[in-house]
Amino acid sequence: MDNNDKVSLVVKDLNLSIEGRPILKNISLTIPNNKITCIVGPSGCGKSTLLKTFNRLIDDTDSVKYSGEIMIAGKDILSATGPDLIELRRHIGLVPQRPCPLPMSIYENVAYGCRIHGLCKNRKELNAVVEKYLTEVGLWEEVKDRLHSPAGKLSIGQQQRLCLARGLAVRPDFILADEATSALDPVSSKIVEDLFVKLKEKYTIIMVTHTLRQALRIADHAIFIYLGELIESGDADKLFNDPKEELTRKYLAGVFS
Amino acid sequence: MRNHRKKYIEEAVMKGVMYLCVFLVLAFVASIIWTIFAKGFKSISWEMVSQVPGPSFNTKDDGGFLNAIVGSLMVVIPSTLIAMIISIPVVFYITLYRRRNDVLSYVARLAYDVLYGIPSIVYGAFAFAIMVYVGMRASLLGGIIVTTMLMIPMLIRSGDEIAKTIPDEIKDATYSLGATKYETMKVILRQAMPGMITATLLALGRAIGDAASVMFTAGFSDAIPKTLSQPTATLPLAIFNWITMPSPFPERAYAAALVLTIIVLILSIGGRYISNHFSKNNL
Amino acid sequence: MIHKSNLFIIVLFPVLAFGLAVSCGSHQTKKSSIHLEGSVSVSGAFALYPLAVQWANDFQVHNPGVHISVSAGGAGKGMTDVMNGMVDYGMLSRDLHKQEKDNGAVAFVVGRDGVVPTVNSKNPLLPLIMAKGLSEDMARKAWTSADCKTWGDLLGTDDDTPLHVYTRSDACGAAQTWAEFFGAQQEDLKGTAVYGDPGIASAVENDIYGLGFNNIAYAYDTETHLPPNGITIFPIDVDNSGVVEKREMFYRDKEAIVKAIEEDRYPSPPARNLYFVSKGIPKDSASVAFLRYILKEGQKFNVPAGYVKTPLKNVIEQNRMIRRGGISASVIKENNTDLTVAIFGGAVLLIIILLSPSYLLKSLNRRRMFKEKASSVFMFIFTIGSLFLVLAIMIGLYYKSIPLLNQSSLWNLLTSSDWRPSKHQFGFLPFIAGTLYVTLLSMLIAVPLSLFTSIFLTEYSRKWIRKIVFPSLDILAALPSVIFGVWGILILIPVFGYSLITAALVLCLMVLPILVSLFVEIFSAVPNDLRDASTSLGATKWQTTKHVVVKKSLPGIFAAVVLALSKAMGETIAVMMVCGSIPQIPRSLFGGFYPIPALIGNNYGEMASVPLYESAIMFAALILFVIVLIFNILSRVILYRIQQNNEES
Repeated sequence: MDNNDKVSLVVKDLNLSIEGRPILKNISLTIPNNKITCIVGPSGCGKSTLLKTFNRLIDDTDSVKYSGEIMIAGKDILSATGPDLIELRRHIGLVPQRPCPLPMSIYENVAYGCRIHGLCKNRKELNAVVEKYLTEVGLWEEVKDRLHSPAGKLSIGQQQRLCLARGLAVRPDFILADEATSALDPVSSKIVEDLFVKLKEKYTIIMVTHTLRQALRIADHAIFIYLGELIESGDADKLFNDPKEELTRKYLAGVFS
Repeated sequence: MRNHRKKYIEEAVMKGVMYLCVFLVLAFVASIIWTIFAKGFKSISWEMVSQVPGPSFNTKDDGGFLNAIVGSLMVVIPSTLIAMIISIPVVFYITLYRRRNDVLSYVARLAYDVLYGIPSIVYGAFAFAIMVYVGMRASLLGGIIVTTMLMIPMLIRSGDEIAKTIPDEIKDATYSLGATKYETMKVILRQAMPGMITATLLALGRAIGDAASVMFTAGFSDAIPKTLSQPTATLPLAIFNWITMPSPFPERAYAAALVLTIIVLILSIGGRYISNHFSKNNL
Repeated sequence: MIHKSNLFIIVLFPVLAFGLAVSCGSHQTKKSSIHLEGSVSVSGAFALYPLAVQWANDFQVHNPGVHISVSAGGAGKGMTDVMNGMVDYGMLSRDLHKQEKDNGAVAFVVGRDGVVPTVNSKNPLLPLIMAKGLSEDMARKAWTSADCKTWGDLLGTDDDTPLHVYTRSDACGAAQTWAEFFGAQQEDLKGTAVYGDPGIASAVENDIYGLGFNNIAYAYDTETHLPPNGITIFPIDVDNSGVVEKREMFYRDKEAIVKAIEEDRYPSPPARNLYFVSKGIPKDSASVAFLRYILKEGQKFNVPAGYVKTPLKNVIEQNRMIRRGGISASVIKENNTDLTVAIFGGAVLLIIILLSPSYLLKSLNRRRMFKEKASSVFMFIFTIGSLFLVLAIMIGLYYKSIPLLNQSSLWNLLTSSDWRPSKHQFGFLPFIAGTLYVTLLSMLIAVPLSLFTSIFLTEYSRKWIRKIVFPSLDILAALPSVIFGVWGILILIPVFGYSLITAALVLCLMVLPILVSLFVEIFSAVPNDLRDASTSLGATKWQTTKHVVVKKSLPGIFAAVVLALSKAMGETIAVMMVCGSIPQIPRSLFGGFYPIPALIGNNYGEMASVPLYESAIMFAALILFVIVLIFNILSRVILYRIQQNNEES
């Protein structure tokens, strides 16, 4: 919550299988704070799965089994239940691939998280929160006159920013983005990317990206996953320009993807 | 050359057959509507719809069948409410709380499918047996119980269909914000509301027209029931009785049939209108 | 913050409480001082209904604290209701069966009337009919033997004008009494069975070769006291002389026949006593007062309504019986319905209390988790409840059928055609056959009709046609069963009569919407690529449709047909109104028949009279349940297989 606090995300020995097939094998890594971490790798190698495991969204998939630990602020989210789980989830925001505004007005969308977690005591506070986060994502000027109109009427780029604002309003520490710009046109894409760059000052951002170019543009830290295994992770510049592993080299050279 | 011709002849013949079939279907529908409306409007009068039977209802034209209209509403509306209270949670349970394909969901769906297919007369016979066992008389309450039993499978089936159309991302989005399943359900309910309303109105329409279920359980009375334990007249049963026991006034049956048809049509059309009107907040 | 959902619950609570109060409210029969209070419910014979209503109305005028409800559903229904404690008095237009007496039924004579045979006024042989009269033997021949096919057979001449005999489909006193006239039982009566007194009257009115019977209440018009225009009363040849003598002609108007009954000039049966039956001697003050009223002041309504007064000796004897029953000044009537309502309300209250932690818990997260848990539990209960309901219905029906199954083997029940309840013979084959025949016939018509229609709608038609057809089908789907029955009676019966074909047509229309909508869905799911592939090879549209679209959709079509079939099998009301209710295996398209749902609907009323009848009816319901269940599962399995196939391809 407090942004100077070193709230960290550490993964220890994560193994995950779906219907018996192992998807993630022995993953251990640490996500650095206040940086943009990009998870790269060919499609179907478990990147989205890894992301979904961070906030336990993976639970909804059939026949999923996992073991290991994911420590967030010192608590293991994989074994959290009940009130602990929903609290921990609050710390992790998700921006999905396809923008998904909730079936309510723009105002209500941003206010939703605050309402359920009881973060705001009265209407004035709520108004302030809504304005603050809409401003933070650069939407305020565009929507301030129609806060109560349905969120579905926004353009797709605006919707994605709205989802971001909604996630930010619960004051998470981490933002997960699962190919967040793949459904957007180039202009909206750029806006969202710039937003991430700006936001990393306050939040830790973990992105799955399918296009290497995006990672090259904005990543500070990079993780290369191939066939469910962690091949290499480290500083982005180093990884992209002078990778240690052979596989990474091959991937970057365009052999696989 | 002959084969060549043949296939074009076949096409033309088949086309003719199809036109005929469509025409027949439309003709039948028109015939039904026309018969009901023509006979009904000829027979109906304001008194019929606004008065209860008077003391000499059976020998003179004394009063109307307001008791049946109100009785039907008094049976169906509470049933709808109770059925909704039971069905909506069940739908959410089997689609949201439990994963879609787990054993309980599957078995429950199967059970509800079976319940949906049971003819209403079997419900009536079963409810009658229970009522006798418990010592209950044919009454408004009896009618409500049967109608509720009848409506629950309908609502659950439609609810399930609607739930299938909700995009998974909404679920993901609310979970990611740290919402509980219960809170997520409330969000999804908003999205599903128009569909549910249509489904409810349609189920209401089917329930209000059902005579076989109330035949044994709601009784029949010339007055509007004042408490749950009094018997009540219902429109479909009234129509059935009067067609087979018309006394000097067969018009009553036709008028009642007209009223029932109009109510049911309003519910069906109204249902669709409402669903369109309320979709504005949705994706 | 007050959420909208909380508001909802805050409003719900007082509404529920109010509802509870109202419902438990006015059903108290407290100590009666001057004013009599309470309620009396009466149900049963059509014969007594008009008279009973007059009694009730008059009584209520003088005793405004008492509410009397009278409903007609046939003598059998009345008996079942009173024996089951559902009403206070059953109206009975036949004598009590021994079984009923053994079970505690007590009958009070409240009047007399009779059943008269009827023919159509335009019958070509009317003069001969009126001259010869109907003797006991002739009546027996007409209604119970298969030899009487023409009017000639009946009247003893060579005439071959066809004879159409009618009887009653519902369990009723009129038919029973009429049968007893010539020493038979209602179930022995043959002929087209029609529901209700007015039903059979109008059947004869509309059929110049018709022969039926009616209560005098329905054989004579209530206003004019003469037979309605199309009907002539068939005089009974009381002394079997082969000729109707002057003294045997007392059918001119209602007064004449009533007098004849009173003076015992009309044979009894089919003259009969009319009874109010109660289970045991009535005890609560309202019911007793009503009965007393009927035996005394109420009798003044009898003759004007066309009934005979209760013979004096009966009145005296019955009053004595009532007094012996020993009534105290005020007796509160036990009514379990109130108890059920109270339990219902209590359950609701309990639920509200259980949910209270959602307000009382201190921390927000704990409250949220509680709501989650609580809702989870409730939902689980409701979901499991469904399974229980299915099992309960199955077990309940089976349990009720056990007495019957103990008596005859399952095989015998399902394959025998003898339906003689009074002789304890219950052969269900005619009903099973009836159900199967009518369902198959209706599908035979409906499937091609809907196939071609749906093909047209998906492959050929233009938008505007679809805009008309789909709403029409929606309307068709929304119409209730009764409405189809009314349409059938008005439009189809005059053409085809009460027969297999009529019922099949009505059923066909009822399943049409389902079939079409399912077919359209299935055909639309066939990808256009396949159609394009076929067309580009030079096939005509029909060829494409036949060989590609339909072929690919066959499993789906099959599943849809099975689904529609199961719906058609269970359809009750519409079919009941047009089927003719003859318990025999249907022989021709134009003959009456008797499907299982109609059996249940018509005869549930007779359940109390014969020991195994109730079991039989419940067994019928069980058969229906099982058949429908099997078809449902079948359909599901097929659909599942299709899904599998689709996923693989």
